[in-house]
Amino acid sequence: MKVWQKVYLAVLILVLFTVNLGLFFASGFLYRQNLSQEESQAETECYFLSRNLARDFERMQENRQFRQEVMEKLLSSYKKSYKKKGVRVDLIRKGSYQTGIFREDGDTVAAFASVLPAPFEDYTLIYEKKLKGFDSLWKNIQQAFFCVGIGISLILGIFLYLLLQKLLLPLSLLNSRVMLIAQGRGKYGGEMPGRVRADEIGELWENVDRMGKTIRSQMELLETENEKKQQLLDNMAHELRTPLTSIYGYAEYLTRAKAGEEERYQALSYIMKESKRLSGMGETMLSMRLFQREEPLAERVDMEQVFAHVKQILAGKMKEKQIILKEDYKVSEAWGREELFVNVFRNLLENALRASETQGEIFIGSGETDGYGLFTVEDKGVGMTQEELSHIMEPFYRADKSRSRKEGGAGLGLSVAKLIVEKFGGKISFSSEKGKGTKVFVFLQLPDKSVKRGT
Amino acid sequence: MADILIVEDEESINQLIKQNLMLSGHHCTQIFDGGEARRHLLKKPSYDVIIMDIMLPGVNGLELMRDTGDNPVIFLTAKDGISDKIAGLTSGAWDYLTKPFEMLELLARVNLILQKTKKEVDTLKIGKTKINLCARSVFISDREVELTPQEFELLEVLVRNRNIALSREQLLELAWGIDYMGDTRTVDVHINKLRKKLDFEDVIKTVYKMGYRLEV
Repeated sequence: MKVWQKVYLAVLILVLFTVNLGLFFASGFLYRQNLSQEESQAETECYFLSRNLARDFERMQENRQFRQEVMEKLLSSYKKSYKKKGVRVDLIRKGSYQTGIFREDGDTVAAFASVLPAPFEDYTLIYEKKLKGFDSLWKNIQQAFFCVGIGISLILGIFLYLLLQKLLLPLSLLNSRVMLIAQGRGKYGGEMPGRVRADEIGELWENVDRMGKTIRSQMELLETENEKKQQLLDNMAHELRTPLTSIYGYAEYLTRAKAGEEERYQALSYIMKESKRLSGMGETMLSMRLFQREEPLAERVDMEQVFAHVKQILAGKMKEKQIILKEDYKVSEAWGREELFVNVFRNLLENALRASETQGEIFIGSGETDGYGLFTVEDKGVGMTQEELSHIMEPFYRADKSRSRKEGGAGLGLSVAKLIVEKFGGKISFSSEKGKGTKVFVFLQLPDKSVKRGT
Repeated sequence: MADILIVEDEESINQLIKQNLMLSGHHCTQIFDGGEARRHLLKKPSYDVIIMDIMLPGVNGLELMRDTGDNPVIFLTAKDGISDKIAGLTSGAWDYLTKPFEMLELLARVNLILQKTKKEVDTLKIGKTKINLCARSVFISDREVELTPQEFELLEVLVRNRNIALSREQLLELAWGIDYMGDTRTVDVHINKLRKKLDFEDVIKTVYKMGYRLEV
């Protein structure tokens, strides 16, 4: 049974019961009122009749005609005249008689007895009136009340039905909408037909609407996350496939072909190189995974020491390309971990080296912006297009794939750098122009601003 | 024999393709960059086969199809989606091969193209033995050697995959057909017959744990 049906039935029964009970009591009151009126009227009539009779008897005594047959005659004339009015009159001598209202043959009868005044106190007048008028009136009243009851019930029933329908219509609409959400389709929300009501149903509607929107945005978020993951997987599959193709291919070559000493050596060194690349990739991804999970301890880091370390690592490559390195440090401290920052700036400097021509210039600088330490690495090399820039943070992406792969990169460097910098509350951004060069901005928290985070 | 251009940015794979093709005696030119390939094709526009990656630095393989002219192109790429394959084949390429690839498959596809374009030389001379694949005849110093059809079939497989070791199972499959239910010892018997008839004791080598290889 639906809610509206339950409410409808309950309210209808309750109201009808109350109304009919009211009608019942009202009719009972009316009945008693009328009856007592009739009763007193009959009683008065009876009293006056007894006085009249007594006066007649007195007069008969004065005329000395007070005899049994005359008395009978008089009484029968009274009887006759009252019978027309539906009243039975009788005279009894020294007897007891039941008075009051009682029913006789479907009629209401009011019976009264009045003792005649002295000296005729031996006689008692009996007065029995059939209340015909009262009965028919009562019948009419009963019919009227019945009709009124039916009418009220009908009107109430229809009105209640319409009211409930109107009140609960949004609820059934809401129900179908929630069903759509549950089935994972539909728009998850939308406006209520007409204006939003200020009652609980209106609130419920708004809440469902809000819920639908939240679900939709969550779904969208999940979808984009999923797409990103899918992209990562695709990239990874490709990245795995390339070294595996080489390894398998050279192994097959070695087993099948009649290879000379030179070719054998070359094939084996390719196998070794590609295996190393694979394992390096695996290690980087594993450390990324671990790093994402745990909270690294942070401390005051001497950035000049970091850059000195990075320069030392890359000294050979810089010498090979005859790079001119220019440095200008205005801020020399940051908040984080030294060895991790070495990793970040080594990556950035390596990228700059790769992009640079022989005898190119690279600038490393630092300063303070908006309460952050800003560290920049800038090259005057090949640069990147906007499209390439938008992808460089994605794992396994390379702007210039042949170049970086030849040097053994897997396209994970910037992803790792980003992860590290963001872990310590910083951020990385790039500006680049094709053919002009690239500038990397690394924002790091300064030690004094981060003391509260403490180690 | 055939003149083949390899456009592949991955140095190790480029080298691998070259080494495999060189076993069949082909001449290879290696290029590692899309832009470079475009410039190179302007200078030397004719090749028997071009083996090309799709994801190339500079100009990608699909764009390079405009520069390859009538040369038969085989795409060799890690992109294995059906839409990538369709895009590759509708761009005018003759064939589409995905990485990781099997050496035998690459060679078979290259040979197929060479056969279709009649670029493959049908005769091969090994020492004093002259094999004509088209006429299905073998001569040793102008004296014709009688071979059964099955023996010739086996010889043809060995010649087409010369310098590459083939397992007994592979030989059964290639020379007898995939439905043949025979024993791998059938292969040994036929190899021995070929060695005797053609005096190929040193040409058809037994490769340890692998099978046989016809060395040129």
